[in-house]
Amino acid sequence: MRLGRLACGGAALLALTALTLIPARAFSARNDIALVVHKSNPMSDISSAELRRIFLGDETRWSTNDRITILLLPPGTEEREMFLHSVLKMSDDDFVRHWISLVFQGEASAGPKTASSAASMTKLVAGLPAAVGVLGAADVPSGDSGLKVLRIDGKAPGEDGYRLRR
Amino acid sequence: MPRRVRLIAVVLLAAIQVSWVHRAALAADSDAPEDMTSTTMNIGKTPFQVQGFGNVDWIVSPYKGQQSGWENGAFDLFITSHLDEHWSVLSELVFEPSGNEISTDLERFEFVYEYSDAFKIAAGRVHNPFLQWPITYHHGLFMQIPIQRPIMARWEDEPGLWPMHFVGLLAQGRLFGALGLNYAFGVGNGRGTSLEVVQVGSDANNNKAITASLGVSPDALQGFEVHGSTYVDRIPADTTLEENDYAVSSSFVRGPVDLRGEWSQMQHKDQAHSITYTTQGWYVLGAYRLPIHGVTLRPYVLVEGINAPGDETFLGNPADETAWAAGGRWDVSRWVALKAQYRSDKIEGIERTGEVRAQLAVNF
Repeated sequence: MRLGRLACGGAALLALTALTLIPARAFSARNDIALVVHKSNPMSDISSAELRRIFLGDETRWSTNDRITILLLPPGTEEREMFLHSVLKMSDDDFVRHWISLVFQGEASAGPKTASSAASMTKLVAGLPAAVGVLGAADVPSGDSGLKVLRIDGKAPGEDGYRLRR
Repeated sequence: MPRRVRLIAVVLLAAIQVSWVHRAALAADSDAPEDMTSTTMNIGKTPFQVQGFGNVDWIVSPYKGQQSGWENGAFDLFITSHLDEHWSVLSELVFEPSGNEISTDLERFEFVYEYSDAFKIAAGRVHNPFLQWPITYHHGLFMQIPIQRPIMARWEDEPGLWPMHFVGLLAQGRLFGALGLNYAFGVGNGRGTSLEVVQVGSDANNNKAITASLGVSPDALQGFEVHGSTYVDRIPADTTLEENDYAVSSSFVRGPVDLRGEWSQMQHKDQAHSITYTTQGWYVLGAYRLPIHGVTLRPYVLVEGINAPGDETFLGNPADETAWAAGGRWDVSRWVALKAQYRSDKIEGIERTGEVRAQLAVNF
């Protein structure tokens, strides 16, 4: 009887742990936007300020001095709109116009690139050592896909306080 | 149309045709990333990008004493070639109306070596970083919100009073940190014997002009920038003039808000006659994107003025001028803008007069 109560208590505790931790983590990560780079990129954490500078074209090279290639999903996708609004406080039109202006000023040699889908994005980032891409955290392939997910201000997708959350 | 201009036009049209074909090829390959801002062509081994800017204005109700009608704006062809990780070439070729003829001007032609974000150096004909307006919008009126440039940001051949083009070496860079420091420093030929001359081929004196600017865009104030700059030259006019100019500019561009302003003082010292001519210019532009879903409409107001020495012959005896313009810019699409404004000008000695003007500006 005592043993049965103990077993029931243990099972309840396990169930509670599974319900509160695992699904919650999976749920929030599914709603997060991830910043991915090539796995050889030495960077693992990026500050919000640096992220903004990169996507505004103020900072165009990694610490290795390789020129950064920015990849985004097509206009109209939720990930793109949310990222631009949350990080840059810009609409998509403002963002494109900003980059046309940078190219025109001679400040940038080319604008960000558009990947046609999340699958295409992961393939491109895995093949371009200096690329950085923005996609849904749920679309990041598991295992060794050649990608690395960057932490932003010390937080990874799914963690409390992660700033790119839908 | 002169034969040379015709030849250039044919070559450029052929290049644009190739660009369209290439764009179609890119679209067909779903995994090829598409550049947001333009299309890259691979001709030979040096990929280059072509962009065009153009505008047509309709003067609905002209200034007193002038006629209403249509004004063909400049056709601005912007070509860049990114040669490798560090080297690039940038050119801006403008076909613009001169009276009722079309003239061609190579406005910018620079070879750039970029070592890092902190240091790059350009050689050739560049836009002078002394004022921020010309290096933000250059010759493409599509890029700017109002229809016309402020008086102090007019090009030498319009004619403007400030030194806008610069032939020589220009170093620039950004130094990262909380302050977001950026700088520009250039040495070049400087002004020519008259106001509209940009010394592309040779320098009329051994003195070189120096231009320098320092800017700050702090991380803590996203969208805010402030710049200070100076320009020093010895002008080989009929009487040699020592030029010392200063400028301060500031802008705040964030979300729907676009605020910018500049002030500059230009001093020309005629040492032979112990006369110093001082010209001041300023402008303030405010624009706000209205919160209408699916429509990008920006009302704007531009207020400006110059205070000029009417007796300086090198500047063409300019008169004091104040003006304001109020209008709106509607971005019909990402590449097409319609603008309309009322502008009121007061030039010293002439009664205040106004103009209603509309503009179709395109980026292609």
